[in-house]
Amino acid sequence: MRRFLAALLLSIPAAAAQAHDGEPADTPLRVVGHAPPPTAGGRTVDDATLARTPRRTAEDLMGLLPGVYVVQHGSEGKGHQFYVRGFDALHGADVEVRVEGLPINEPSNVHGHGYVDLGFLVPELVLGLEATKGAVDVDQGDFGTAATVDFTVGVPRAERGHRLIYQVGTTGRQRAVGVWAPRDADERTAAAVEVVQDDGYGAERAHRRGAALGQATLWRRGRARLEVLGAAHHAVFGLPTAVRVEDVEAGRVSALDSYAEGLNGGASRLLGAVRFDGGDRDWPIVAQLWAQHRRLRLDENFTGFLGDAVNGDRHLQRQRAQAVGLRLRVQNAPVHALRLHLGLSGRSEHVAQAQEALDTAGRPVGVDRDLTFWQHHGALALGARWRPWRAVRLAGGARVDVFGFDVEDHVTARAGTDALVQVSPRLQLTAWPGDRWTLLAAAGRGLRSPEARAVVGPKGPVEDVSVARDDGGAAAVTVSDHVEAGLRYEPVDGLLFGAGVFGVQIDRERVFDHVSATNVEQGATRRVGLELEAQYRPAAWAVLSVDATVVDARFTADDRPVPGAPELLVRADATVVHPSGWSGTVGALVLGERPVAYGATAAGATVLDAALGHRQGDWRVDVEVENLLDTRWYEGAYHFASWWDRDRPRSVLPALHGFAAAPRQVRLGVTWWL
Amino acid sequence: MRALRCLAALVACAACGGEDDEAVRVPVQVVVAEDPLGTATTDLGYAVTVEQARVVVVDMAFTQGGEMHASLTHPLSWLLGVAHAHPGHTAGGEPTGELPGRHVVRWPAGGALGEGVALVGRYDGADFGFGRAEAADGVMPDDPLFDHTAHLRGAAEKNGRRWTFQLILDQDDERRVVGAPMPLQVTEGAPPTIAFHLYLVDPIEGDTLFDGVDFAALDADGDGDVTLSPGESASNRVRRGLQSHEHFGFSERK
Repeated sequence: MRRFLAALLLSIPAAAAQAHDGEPADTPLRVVGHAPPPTAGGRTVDDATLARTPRRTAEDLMGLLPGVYVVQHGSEGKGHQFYVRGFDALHGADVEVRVEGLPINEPSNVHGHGYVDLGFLVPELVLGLEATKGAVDVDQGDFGTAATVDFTVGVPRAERGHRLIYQVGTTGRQRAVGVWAPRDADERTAAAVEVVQDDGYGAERAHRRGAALGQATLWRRGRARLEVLGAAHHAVFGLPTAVRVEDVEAGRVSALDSYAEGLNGGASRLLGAVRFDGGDRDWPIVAQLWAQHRRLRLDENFTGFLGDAVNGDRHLQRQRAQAVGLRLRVQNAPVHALRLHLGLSGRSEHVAQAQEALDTAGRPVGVDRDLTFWQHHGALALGARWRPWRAVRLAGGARVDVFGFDVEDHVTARAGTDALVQVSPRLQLTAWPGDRWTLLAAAGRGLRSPEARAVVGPKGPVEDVSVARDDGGAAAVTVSDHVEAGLRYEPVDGLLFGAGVFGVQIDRERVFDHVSATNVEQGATRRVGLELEAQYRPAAWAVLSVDATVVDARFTADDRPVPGAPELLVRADATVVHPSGWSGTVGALVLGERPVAYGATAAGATVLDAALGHRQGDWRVDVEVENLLDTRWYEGAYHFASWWDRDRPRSVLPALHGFAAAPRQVRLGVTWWL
Repeated sequence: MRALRCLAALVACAACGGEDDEAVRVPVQVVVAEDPLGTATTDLGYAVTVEQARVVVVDMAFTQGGEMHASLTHPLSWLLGVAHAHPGHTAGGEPTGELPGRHVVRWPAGGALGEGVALVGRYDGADFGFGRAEAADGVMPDDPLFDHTAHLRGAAEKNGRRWTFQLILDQDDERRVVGAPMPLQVTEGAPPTIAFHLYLVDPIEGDTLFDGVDFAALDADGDGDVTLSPGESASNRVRRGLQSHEHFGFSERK
């Protein structure tokens, strides 16, 4: 490896010199301006920042969105945990994620409702990233209780051409990517294959994965176009345990350690979609059909021997799911200044999932869960956009979501079916009181389906288990009510200031708690917050942005803070893609203290990432540094009981646990356009 | 220059990120309530007075909110599945206070059970398991409680007749009482004393610990003395009552 690195380093100046002698450097990357978002909380990340920001996975790019905090509490390959606007969205329970309109959240996933795994999304093929925070647009669907994030696939014009990328980094990371992006094709036509191997920055974090993703236009005539998308992904990865902060502080373990060895996981996906864009100017139509096969296996232990002092609490979760879905969107403008749209979507999925208890050697010692089920989701969205005056635009409508379940529990020998309906109104107002001012206001209701397991859970109080608060009850849809208002001001071209306030109320948050395996009434919560942003483009080749989100999230009944959600999140990025071929970015994340359950607190952190690159002709060299300041902090902090050291007394008291963030990581990449 | 200043400010912020702080832990004294156990009138019309009740309990845990999933060794784990904590769990119900160890609880004699610890917060319930009395608990082999879980002694009266009784019962080792009411606010700087109660009458539903026990029928020799041993039908009725959170409670002793 050392020899290879040396050869690589020696080859860089030679390649650069060759480029100097040959063709001039390519024109700089297009830096997309900040398109006026339809809502105060809406954000679009420009493609230059997407391309230049140091990242390991597509999920890392979600951290560029203001107010979104992304945590990996396993290792690369496992789904991430998301925090948005005061929501602990777990693995995706409150964040709807779509890629080219395809729903990525996995309802009723064995590991977490709405589980999001973007392992198939090769970062080089992320053309656009857009967030709609709050639930204010009629197209936002299941899991959009806090926000919806949309990825688009493709390669921007300046990056087009077939290319090979090889990246090496600390922790023995090697990553090879091949990108197919014909220069004469549109930005959406591209494909990539990615292979990654990494020893990981801490114990039990090694991983290997491969992904292939492609999108191409098969047929085009006039406005009509038929497009296909295909993806395949496979990953195997280690799974560390969380470490007790008190053990780290006492020097018994390092923050990057794991109490257990051999825990691991695997994930794979096959995805195919066909999209038709057609109709005419008055009746544009988009129709999409998709199918997916998905497997997930997670062998984890978070609590040591707390539950089972002999065998330990290691458990294996397995899931296999096949899903098909469709999406149809039709628009029409019956009169001037009024545009109507109708959206239809459907999804049917068959899932087999199980959870086995394992002993420390990985042998099964019991079956905790064994379910097979069908789950269906259909939605009808009706919306209208009306511009009664030149300076005012109203958009609104409602959606009806229907969920159906047919569940068989092979452990309890229970079976059940259920159907639920939810109506969600949405409204947006945009006004332009002056050429450089935009007023934005919106309100709406977001929703989250219940887990399939809830259908066969206890329907009422379980004798000798509940005192008063929880009444069991039937599966129900969780809804969140949002309101927001904002102002944007562009004093001169290229300079933008924005400010917004938001409020979220959840009257009756009901979750299927996988600790108790029953429905749990969490009570009402409310979130109020402030979002500020500024963006400056001093030149066509540079963009600076900073945003801050302050949120106060609390349980209404007793004013306790909602655990885990950061109260302050600041993100600052400076990206340069100069015509000389130099490019670079510096990004800073400032994370405030995080309240954790029952009064514990996780420290905040300031983390800097940076990247520098130079393109000369068909070659580019990039150096990425993640966590430039080598800040030591817990990316994920939790408060629960565990018992790992059996020489010490068992205690059921929760203690602060953490998953350490990556220490400083340096990666060197070489790109060759063929 | 301005950009450099901003960068410096951000770097400086790295040093003011605060610290990881564990939740505040408060010592709590747990004692046995000294109130007389009183008299309960059963569904069969017996007025039952318990003079002394002794129960061996183990590993008390105090919980905040969402009592449904308090215990990792859930009494209904065969039905509900094994619980595994997981990062991100915030639904409540986890134990946040405890008094570990074995304790022979004597009502109404009272006495201290020990010093536990609890996190600051509002408590709703308590869980505990059962054990069998041993010499190490101060229970000698000639004591009727020895090698058993509970021993109750008292009298029952009906229609002018009176029976004295002794009741001995056992509970399974894995059995736990979950969600015994414990309305209590634990605050920093004011360590509370918690009194452990046994209720002959369920304060919510009104049923009694001795419902269904027909003392007259159990007094086969008519001498007015009834002894109920583990496994007997009448003993099992009381045993079921003592498995329920409804006959236990915790309160703050002012």
